[in-house]
Amino acid sequence: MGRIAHRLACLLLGGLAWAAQAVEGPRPFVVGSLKEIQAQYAGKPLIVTFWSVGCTHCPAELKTLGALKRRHPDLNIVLVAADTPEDGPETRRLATQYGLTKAPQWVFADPIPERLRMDIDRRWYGELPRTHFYDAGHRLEAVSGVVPEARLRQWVAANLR
Amino acid sequence: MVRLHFRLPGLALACGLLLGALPAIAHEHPAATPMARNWQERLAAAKGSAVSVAADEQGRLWSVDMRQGNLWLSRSTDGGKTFADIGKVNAQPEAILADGQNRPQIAVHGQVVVVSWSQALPKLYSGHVRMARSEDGGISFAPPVIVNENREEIGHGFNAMKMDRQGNLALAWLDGRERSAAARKGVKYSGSSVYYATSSDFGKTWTANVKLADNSCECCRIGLAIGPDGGAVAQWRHLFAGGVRDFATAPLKPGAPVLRASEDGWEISACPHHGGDLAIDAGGRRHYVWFTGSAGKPGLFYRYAEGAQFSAPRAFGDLDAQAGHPTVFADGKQVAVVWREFDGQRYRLRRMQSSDRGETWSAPSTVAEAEGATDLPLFVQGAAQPLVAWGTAAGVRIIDLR
Repeated sequence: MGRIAHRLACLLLGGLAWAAQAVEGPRPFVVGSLKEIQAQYAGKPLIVTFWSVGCTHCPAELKTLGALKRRHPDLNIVLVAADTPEDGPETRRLATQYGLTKAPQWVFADPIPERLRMDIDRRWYGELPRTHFYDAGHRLEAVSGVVPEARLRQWVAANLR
Repeated sequence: MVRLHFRLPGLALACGLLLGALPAIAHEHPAATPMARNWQERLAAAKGSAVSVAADEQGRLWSVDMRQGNLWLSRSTDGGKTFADIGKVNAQPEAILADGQNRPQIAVHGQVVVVSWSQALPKLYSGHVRMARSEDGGISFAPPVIVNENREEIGHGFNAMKMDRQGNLALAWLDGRERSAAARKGVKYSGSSVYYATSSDFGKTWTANVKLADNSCECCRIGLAIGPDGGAVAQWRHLFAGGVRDFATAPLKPGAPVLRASEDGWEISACPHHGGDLAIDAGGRRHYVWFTGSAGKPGLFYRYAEGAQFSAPRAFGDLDAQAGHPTVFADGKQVAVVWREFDGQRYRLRRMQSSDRGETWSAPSTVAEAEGATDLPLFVQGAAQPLVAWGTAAGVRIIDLR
């Protein structure tokens, strides 16, 4: 009985948390946000994908990531949309379409994207999608453009145990 | 003063006006329609971040900027210190793309003012190339016309327009009709295509639409210049075999060969949103500037060309300062190149100069700095001198490089 009540409470709380997240939209991404994300996943492999609502090449990669996430629930994926906070509802809706509802979501919140790019990677000039692969030691491998599915699978196989 | 209000989503959304991956979004996801509507409504409600500036034969400066779906024509008689509104180019508001790579274009001579722009249509990533013309110094404009003869609700945009003092006008744009036709046949088509139309009477009459090239990149601005013979040449990011997005160039002549204009080898499944620029000097030498993100040798490059002979690319700009968006000007033996950098706090415009048609160059120097968001710099269309127009949070600035 107690166990069932506990489960119900968990479900309810989980549902509330999910609902709150869905309503709140992505978190504002500013200078320092990437460090915050990395700290949160310290010692764990992580994929950070930079994308945007109007980027026509992004859906291909996001869908593949969504499928990978379904197959590997432990895979850490963080989405950062290079849009503006007012695009938040749109980015969240699209992420849901791609099966990435559970991935933490951020959206650029600086009128100067160069400032954010310099904080993220000085040599990123804004191409989207842009994918940051961090292994468990958080060594970075950055890729501009859609990452081929085979390469994503390889990375997952090599980094997720 | 024309004040700019920067809205960054436009930068990303402008890429939308393309034919590229859109069928994937438009057809597979039923929710794409509200998204497209949202896109269009926001465009119509917004102010564009791009201001385009042209000089007339007297040296007066004319600008167009987008406010709530209308393009506004303004004029400066003090070298660009102040601009005064003249009136609307399009009487009826419409969704107009006016930022970054996809921006309105203006050319002025005498009483003739020609303006072209990309109109966003309700279907996601679709649009028309529009044009309106005035013969009374911009007091009144004839109703806008659609330039693209193909009227499918697909991508037609990223229009570039240039005019010389003899009345030669060139208008080139990215067009989705080839991709659309291939899709109907179930054939895969890479990227977009480049189309153009020209006029030799200041835009009164135009040629039919002509295809310049298949398989262009989908959302980089086109570089366009008119040479001393009145003929125009375009430069665009092309989709070469293996997904390599380097530059190509061709004269706007039916059947003209397309030449490769850079051998960077940038293989990328993405849209870099980073076009190049082109100028032609009085001797017909073509001067090219561009950006590549190729792993081997990323950055900004300059080279010149005569016929099919290209000089070796010359690197410039600080790669660690987001160097990008180069623009080039040529007059006699003088060639000027300007680009944008960001030092972590503020944007700066950098320049380098050649006085021997691009053989040797000055060291780079800073010509202007700005706080807050800025537009990409562009040389003023039609100006006899190297005047750079740069949209900043404080308004459009005209910088005379002399």
